[in-house]
Amino acid sequence: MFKLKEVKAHCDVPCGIYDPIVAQIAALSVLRMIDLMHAAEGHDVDYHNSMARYVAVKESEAIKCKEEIRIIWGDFIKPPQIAENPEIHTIVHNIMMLGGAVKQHTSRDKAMELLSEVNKFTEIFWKIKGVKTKVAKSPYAPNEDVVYPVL
Amino acid sequence: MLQIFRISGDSLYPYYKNGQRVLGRKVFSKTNIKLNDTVVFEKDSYGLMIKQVKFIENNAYFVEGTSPSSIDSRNFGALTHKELKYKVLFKF
Repeated sequence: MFKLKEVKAHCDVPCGIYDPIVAQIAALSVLRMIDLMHAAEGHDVDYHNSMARYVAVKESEAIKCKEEIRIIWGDFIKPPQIAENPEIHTIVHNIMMLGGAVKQHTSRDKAMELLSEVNKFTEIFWKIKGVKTKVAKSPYAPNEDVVYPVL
Repeated sequence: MLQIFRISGDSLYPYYKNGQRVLGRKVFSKTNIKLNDTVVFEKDSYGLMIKQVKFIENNAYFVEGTSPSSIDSRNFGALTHKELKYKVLFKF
């Protein structure tokens, strides 16, 4: 009775490729840098060289974490999904603030809070995508809980 | 009068998903097109497209996808009523 026609809803980039794993790895990296900073010993040139590198990586990974979350929140999350997950705005705002806090300080607790909020965001993201999640320790230092999709 | 379309692409996600089918009713000169209606139209270089009406002024219908990367009126400008071929009734 009806002939099916194809109608394009295309984008100019390969849209639809979103994954919070980059933000999760960035949050883990911040945590790892803080652990290394607290474990560092000595006051020689090598110490200062290592410390400078830890700080630089902590800074850039915190920025990356915030940027990745902002992109998913701004580009992927849509009004119907916000209605179903009204806590998403608070979680994102917490990530923005904690992302700033871990740059300013070397508090492990703050870095753990950042990872926890990113994990909450990740749970919502995969729920929206209809993918189940599990919590497992990262298979590398800092070996903390991370939310992974069950694929 | 009525036409079934299969959607290709994700620029209207999450309202319409890639591969989903929709039923459209042909647009005539007196067909009322409102804000947020989903419409099917043809653009020379892109072919048959589906987008949502986001702004109407006189006979200019500004259509957009939900994705910031969507190819829509932000690229090719507003459409006239005559350019709108079908109004989507529902998805299934």
